Amino acid sequence: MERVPPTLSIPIMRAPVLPSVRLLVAVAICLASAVVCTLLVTQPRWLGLTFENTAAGATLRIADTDALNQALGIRPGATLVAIAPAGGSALVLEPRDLLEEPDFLDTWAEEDAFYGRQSVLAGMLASPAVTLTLRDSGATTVRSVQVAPRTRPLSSLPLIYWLQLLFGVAGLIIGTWVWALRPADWGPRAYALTGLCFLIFAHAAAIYSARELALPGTLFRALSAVNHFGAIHFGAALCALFLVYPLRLTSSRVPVGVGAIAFVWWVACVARLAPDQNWGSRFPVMLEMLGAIGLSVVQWRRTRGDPAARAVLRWFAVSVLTGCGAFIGLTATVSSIGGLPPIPQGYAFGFFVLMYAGLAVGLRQYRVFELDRWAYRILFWGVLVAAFVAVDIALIGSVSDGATRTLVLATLLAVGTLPVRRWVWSRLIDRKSLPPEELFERALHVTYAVSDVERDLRWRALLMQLFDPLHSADDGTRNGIGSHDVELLAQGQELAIPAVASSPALRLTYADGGKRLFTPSDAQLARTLVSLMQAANDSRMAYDIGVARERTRIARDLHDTVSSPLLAGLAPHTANGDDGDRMMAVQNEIRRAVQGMRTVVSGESVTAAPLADCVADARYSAVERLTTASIAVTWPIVDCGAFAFSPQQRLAFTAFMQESITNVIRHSGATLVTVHLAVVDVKLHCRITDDGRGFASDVTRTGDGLPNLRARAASLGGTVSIGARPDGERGTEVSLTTSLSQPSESG
Amino acid sequence: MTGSLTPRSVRQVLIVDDDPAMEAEAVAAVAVFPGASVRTARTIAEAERWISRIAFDLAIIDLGLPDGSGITLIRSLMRDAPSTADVHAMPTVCVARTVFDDDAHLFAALSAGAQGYLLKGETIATVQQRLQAAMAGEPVVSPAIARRVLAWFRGEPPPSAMHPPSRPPIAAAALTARETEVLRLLAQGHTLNEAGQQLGLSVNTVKTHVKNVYARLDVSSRLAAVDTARRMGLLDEDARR
Repeated sequence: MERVPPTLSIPIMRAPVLPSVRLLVAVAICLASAVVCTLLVTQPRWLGLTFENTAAGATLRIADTDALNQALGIRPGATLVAIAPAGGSALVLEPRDLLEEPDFLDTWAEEDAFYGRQSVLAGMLASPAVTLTLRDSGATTVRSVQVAPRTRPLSSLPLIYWLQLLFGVAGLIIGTWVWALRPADWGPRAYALTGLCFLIFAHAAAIYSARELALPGTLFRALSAVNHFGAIHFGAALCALFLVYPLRLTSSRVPVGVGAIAFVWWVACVARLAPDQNWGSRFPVMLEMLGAIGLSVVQWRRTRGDPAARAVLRWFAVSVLTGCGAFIGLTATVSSIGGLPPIPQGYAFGFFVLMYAGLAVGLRQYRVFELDRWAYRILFWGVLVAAFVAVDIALIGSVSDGATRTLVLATLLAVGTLPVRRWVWSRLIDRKSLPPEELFERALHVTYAVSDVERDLRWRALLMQLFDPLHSADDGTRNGIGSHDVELLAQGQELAIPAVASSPALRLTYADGGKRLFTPSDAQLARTLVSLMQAANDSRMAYDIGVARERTRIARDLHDTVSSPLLAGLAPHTANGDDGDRMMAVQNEIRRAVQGMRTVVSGESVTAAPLADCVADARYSAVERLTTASIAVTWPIVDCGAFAFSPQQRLAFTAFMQESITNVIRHSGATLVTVHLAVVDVKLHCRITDDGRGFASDVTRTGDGLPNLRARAASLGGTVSIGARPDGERGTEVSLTTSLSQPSESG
Repeated sequence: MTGSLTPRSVRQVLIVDDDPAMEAEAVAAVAVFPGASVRTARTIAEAERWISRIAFDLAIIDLGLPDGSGITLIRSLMRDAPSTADVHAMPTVCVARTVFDDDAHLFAALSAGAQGYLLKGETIATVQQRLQAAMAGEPVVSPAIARRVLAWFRGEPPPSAMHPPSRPPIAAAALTARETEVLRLLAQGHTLNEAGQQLGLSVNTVKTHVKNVYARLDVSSRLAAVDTARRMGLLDEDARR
């Protein structure tokens, strides 16, 4: 059968968008919006004055002023009464000119008047010089000071402005973060939409609320319209969210319909088709809020019997509704009944951020949107990128302020942080990889872990190191459902790893912490690794099996070679003769046991031994012992061919030779021993001849030596004859004949 | 090199063994040297105290001691010893004593400079014969050892899986043709004398060949291999012992 190389089927579909790309787009939108806002807010000419927040008061008191104005005699605490262009008529200022949010005005007429005055003021500020009419603190008379409006520096922008920018950014980034990881779900989509709308209305409001005194009326009105757009669609998105999350209550048409109604209402508001501000902007937002609350109640009822969904809903609804509710309660509601909010709207926007932060915090515990702790990583990454770019923009901004000192400082800062930047970027962008030669070592490291648990941990750690997935999950059961081969899934969003060794099949999601897709080369690497692991694991198992077999072998051999002589030594001894003989017999058995133990340990008890080796060992031992006993030896070395003894035969042969020599040394009184070995016709013939006092003359003294020799010969598979020398000389001859097995090639 | 023909006289003997019964056996065996005074030690530390005070002619050293391997003692006793087969030139003649005669133990002892080895459980006659042979400068060469040394230099694995893997053949450690021939004859069961006669060499030359071969049993690399294997978990039965 021909082997078909594994191929990747690429269905014709849009390539998936990575979470990191979605998040980067959000970051780009945030930063672009912040830059546009800052350009717009610094557009009008600037007097260098900071007014007290006295929207509710009767006058425009100067809270702070810069050095240039101080030199002109403008002091904090003074009241700005009127303003006039050079040679033009003065406009007497009202506290309402500083109004943070035009929505606080109730009627269209009031709003038009407000925008009209803003246009006049903006026009005056655009002229080269204006005359300010001031009343100093405590004075009863007024005086005039001529001031040239200047370009507004970034440093003069109030904290509340930056906060509003930041709130908007936080909303969009957290919203996008959730959507980036669950792009196909309706809940995160709606949630991300609220984030976008929040950014729109917060940033629009940031511009006009941070103006010094005035914006051109048309710009102001446009910004207000943008703010309304964001607010009303935010509410719609919130309703849509509770329509689809946690349970999907309706088809997707309903949320779209809600959005359409919101859009129409917004158009009506902008075109002033609504009777007043209440109908134009406050009521719809409150209505949407009530709708969201109502829908969350419906969700609550529908999730009865689903504690997990309820836990999510509880956390989610509480953070969303308290965030939005607190804001609407403080601003829209208060102004709809004719009051002004107790805290500036810019700060109140912070309540919305509570809603987003609530989600980020609750995500881990409640698995909101099916996300878990792993999701934080990409958020952190996104925030880091945003912060990094923001710092750069701030540096450019400070340079554009023009002061030489800041220019130098910014340059130094930029140059000084270069290594840090490079390092950070390499951490944020670069891929880590493992040199291939380490791969094998790491696979072995995994395989030879001491326990299954440890092995599993090491395997996962290795995969983490190689692919750094954003998320990994067990894929089915240990030996069951998961993939049987490495597979790229969902066009590279996921990599399926089959079960290996002690680890279940795994599914890795998004490579490199969400920054890239898995590629065919990743799959190839994983395939190599898996086969490496399988090979290593097989050999480890073979090794384990070998160890078990060896243990069995040792147990069996210990029984044969160690226990039986020890037991024989313990048994009531049948040896004839005196206590010395019995003691000797017992010692011999023990010695045999120790020797047997050695053969077990060395492995000799399993391996067949060449006959030549067994003969050589016997010869060496005999020569050593006989020489010690001052008995001469003649033992010609002959060719033993390729025959071999089985381990049992070897033991028996060794014992036979030793006991024969022992008999000679102890009983014969011989001076010369001759050993003749011959291999004839697949038989071993062995003659041990001595010149001692002879067998017949001392039959009683041979004790149990003879039965022992017979037993050894029997276990060798041979026969023994013991008697007088056939040549008639004085002495004894022990003659052993045993068959040999045919030498085998493998043996 | 003529001195090795006459046995070296034995006046001071050191016996290092932590087992009292084995110690007693060794003491009994040393009676073969009349007039020798015997010191005993149970640990390496104790033995080193004796060594620092007395110049021993013979040291019988158990390889498995409570505070380490007897190989350490053999090394320190043989330090600065001339590389020779002449027992008279040695500071102390060392004889290793062990239960198991596996390659790792035995080769380490031989390459450290042990003149002989005793297997526990042998008859007192055999032990005494071995000791006398050692004092006469007879290196211990049973056919089994010769076979294992040959196998070792060929890089062959030892017969049992319980032994550490054999070292790969290293050119620098290879045997000369003459050394191979000597070992081959000894492996067949020939004595040193017989081997010398067959090769037309003096017995002393044969002994020198044997001792040169022993010195090249690079057990340190073998022990390193054991350590590596153990670290990789290949020998984890050792860890449980």
